[in-house]
Amino acid sequence: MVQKIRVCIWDDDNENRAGMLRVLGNLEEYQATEYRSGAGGIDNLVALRPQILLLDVDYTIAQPEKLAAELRKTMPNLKLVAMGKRWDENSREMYKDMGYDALLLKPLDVESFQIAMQTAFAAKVRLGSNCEVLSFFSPKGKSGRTTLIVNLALALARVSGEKVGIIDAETNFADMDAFLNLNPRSTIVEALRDLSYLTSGTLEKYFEEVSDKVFVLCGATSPQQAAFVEPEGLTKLINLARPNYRYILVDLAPGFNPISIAAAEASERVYLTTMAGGTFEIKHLQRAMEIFRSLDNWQQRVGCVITRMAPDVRRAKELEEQIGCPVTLIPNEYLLCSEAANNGRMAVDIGSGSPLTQQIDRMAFAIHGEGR
Amino acid sequence: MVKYMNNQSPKRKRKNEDVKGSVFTFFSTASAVGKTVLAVNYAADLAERGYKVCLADLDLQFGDVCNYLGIKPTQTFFDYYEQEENKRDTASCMTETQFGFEVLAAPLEVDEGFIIDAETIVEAINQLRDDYDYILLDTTTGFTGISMAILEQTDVLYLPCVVDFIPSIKDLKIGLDTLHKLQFDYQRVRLILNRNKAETQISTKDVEALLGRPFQYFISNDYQGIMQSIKEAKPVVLTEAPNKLADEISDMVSEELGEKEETSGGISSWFGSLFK
Repeated sequence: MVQKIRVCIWDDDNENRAGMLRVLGNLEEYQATEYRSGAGGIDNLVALRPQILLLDVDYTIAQPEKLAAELRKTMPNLKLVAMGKRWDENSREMYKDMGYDALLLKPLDVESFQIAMQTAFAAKVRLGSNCEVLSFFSPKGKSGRTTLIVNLALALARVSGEKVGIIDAETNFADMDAFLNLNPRSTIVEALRDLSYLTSGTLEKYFEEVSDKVFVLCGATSPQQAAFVEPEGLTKLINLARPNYRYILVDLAPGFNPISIAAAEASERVYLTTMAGGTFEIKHLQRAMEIFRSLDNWQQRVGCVITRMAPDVRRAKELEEQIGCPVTLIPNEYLLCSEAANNGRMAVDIGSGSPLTQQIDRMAFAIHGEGR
Repeated sequence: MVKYMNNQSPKRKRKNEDVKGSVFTFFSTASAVGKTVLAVNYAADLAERGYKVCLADLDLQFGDVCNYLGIKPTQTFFDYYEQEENKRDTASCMTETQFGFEVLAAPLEVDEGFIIDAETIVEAINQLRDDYDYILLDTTTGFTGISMAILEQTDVLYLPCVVDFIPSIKDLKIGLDTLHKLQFDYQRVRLILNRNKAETQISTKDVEALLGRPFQYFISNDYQGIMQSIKEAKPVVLTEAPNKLADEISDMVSEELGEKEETSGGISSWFGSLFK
């Protein structure tokens, strides 16, 4: 069972407090509690063990800065959200300087609350969702990344029985639409443009259906459009999409750039992908690993996929030692993949039974097995 | 041709010091289309003709020029970047090769490549124009702030592609359209079909029709030859044995230098002479 996030409402106005409890009561991922000034002092608040505290800063609290400092000492991991009747950029900055994580406008509504929670905290608090974000990085292109992502998404949907999302964050030449023969109504560019108005629910409409359980947010249609894809927006977009999917797979442009770094940081797992070509691919993976070692918990988060290499346990072990992370080998199915990509039937033609699908299924089982 | 004949003195002089060097860029809209192989061989061929040539590896994070040439640079583009502003000097950062041309190597560490900015690259290219007859730039795939800056400095743009996947061809079309929107002069673009006649289900004619222009150059598919060249760290154009791929690259260089008619004779030469 998914553990709920404990949210405490501290507002001395009974009517406001009741209204907020009703709002939060509609959201199954939260467990709402309430608190009033003088109700046994801070110790009683601490006893409620809130993860998020919604605090009325207009009437309930006289010295919000001092209180924030006290609360931070007692509960260092607490997320503090100021709630006021006035919301503008200056006020937001002011409360941020005082030590608050966010400022919300009163009266509270579900959508603005969810946006604040998802965009501000989702990377650290899992928001009650068990979504896992998997990013696919490659030092250079032609790594078999897009083929891998499409097939892994289908496999993860089969294995988990849940919905899987794909975000094509390739900033130059996004190909997911061509691989899947999609004519998307909207792309990542429109989703990012509209982000501040979106909820998780409304974001879903920007994703195109690939199968009954796999959905894709297509990438920018031209390099000029890609200029609108920015790292901060991408992080918020990923986090906003989390409640909709069990897994989100993010396709990234080759090399390190602000987008690929932001996506890696927002992901539970990062896969370095390359195609075995008999030249310097392993050397590039080793160099890329040097950067990924700076990610928090990189040992648990970073893996490597080498495409066009027949699965071989001994060879995989050798490569793991050379590269410094777990390695999955995906066999070569060039003709099958190229024909499927050329006909936009990547999701249809690569059916079960091929060595490629079988190996990707094993990878999906491993991911889902570990994730449960 | 006797190979390496012009390579005895790496610190060679420019053929024409009164003219700024020309910048030839190898750029692509898809990876693994042979940019580095072509750039390395093009550089070797130009050097063989006695020109003073620099090959700059501007795939700053994962450049392969030094890997392909088997050289271990002690100075790289990062050392250039680290020099005091306005006093930077490319000459101190070059690596000599045994093939008669010099290399401005990509940084040794990935994070070093990440921080180099477009302005520094433009500054370096301008310096190189004073020191070399030809400056060849091997780049990374796609349009970025850095590649845009490089394109602005480019005299001739070599755009190799491989006709394997429809998505790659779509990307090439988008790339050409983007160059057009950037007002990059199409006359300076050389479209190369690499790995010509490789196993593929897509016809070259269809691709040309889609792109709205023909390929100027066709380079043969010689996987084994290229792998051997990389293994031996020796450009294909310098191999002693007859090699079709080497001839095709050499012809490409000749055509660019306007030397083809002069050297090959035959109808083209005669036809050309009518207009001299």
